[in-house]
Amino acid sequence: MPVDRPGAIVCVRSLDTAVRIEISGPRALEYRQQIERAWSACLADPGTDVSVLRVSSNPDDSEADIASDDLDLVMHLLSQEVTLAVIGAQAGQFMMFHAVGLADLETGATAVFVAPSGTGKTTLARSATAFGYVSDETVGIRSDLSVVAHPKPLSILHQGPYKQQLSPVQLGLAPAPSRLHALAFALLRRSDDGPEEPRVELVPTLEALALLAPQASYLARFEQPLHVMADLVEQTGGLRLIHYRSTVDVIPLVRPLLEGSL
Amino acid sequence: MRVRRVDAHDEIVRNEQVAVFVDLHVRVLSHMASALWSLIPPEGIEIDDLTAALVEKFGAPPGASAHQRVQELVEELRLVGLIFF
Repeated sequence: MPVDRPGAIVCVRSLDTAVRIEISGPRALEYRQQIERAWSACLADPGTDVSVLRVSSNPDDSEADIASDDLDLVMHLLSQEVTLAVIGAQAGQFMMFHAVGLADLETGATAVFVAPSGTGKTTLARSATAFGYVSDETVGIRSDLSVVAHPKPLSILHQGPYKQQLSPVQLGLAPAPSRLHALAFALLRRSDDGPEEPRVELVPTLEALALLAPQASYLARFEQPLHVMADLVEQTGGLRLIHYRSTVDVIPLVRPLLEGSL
Repeated sequence: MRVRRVDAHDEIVRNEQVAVFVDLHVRVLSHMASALWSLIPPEGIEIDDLTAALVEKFGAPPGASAHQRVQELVEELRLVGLIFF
């Protein structure tokens, strides 16, 4: 099988982890432009301590992690691969949740909305334009409550077979401040027959742990995962469980959540 | 019958209630199950001794055999993988 040398390189940094994307194949420059555009919120200078992902526009490149002449497919797979790489690199270092992160543009105070796939995380991140975009997929929180952003491209439905990967800038979202701290923790629970007005309940700590655990990455890599999670929950005033029907109903709750009045 | 508990990866107590992390799952135990869990020493305990300890802590259950109630609770915890014999 033919193997191409990298024709272009894009370096991204997310979840405090650098990833070098080496691009080869006849359309390497076109691929690079698209990757740089979609990952604009994560572009970084080349570093030494990095994971490497090989992308090729040549579908026969057996050495590449992602090889396809379908750029939409490559962008789709690349988003998954980068996310897996950075989460894997930080396993056990700090807590990571499937979550939307929305930050106050002035203070960096961040509301973390934990939610499983398919509950409107991207819609919420895309719609809450008054806040800085931290992530629509994974938010890291250190024990001192500093937040580690993963401002990946947002996956937006469009006419093709794969979701389109658009940067927060392309969607008109503001970048989050560089220093972020977790101020509020919520878990989203959407259902079609949910309340017309969102209902918010404060969850006792142990129940919060049971709700959060399925949405946390690499829990078993921590020596005391329950204690680490409980500290995060209790330091942020407890987990709010938000029952709702439509994602847009959650947006008016972000500011009160950050102000501690919810 | 000697009751033993599995090695939990982590456990935490709030308001006399226990949550345990075993096999990648978080189990939040009822107050009674939490007490039972906490009364099992590393080497295990005879179910009669466990029953006596729970009766001392909570009193005898009204209208039921304490031994039977403890056996039922032990069986519940066994089925979710927290206890073995």
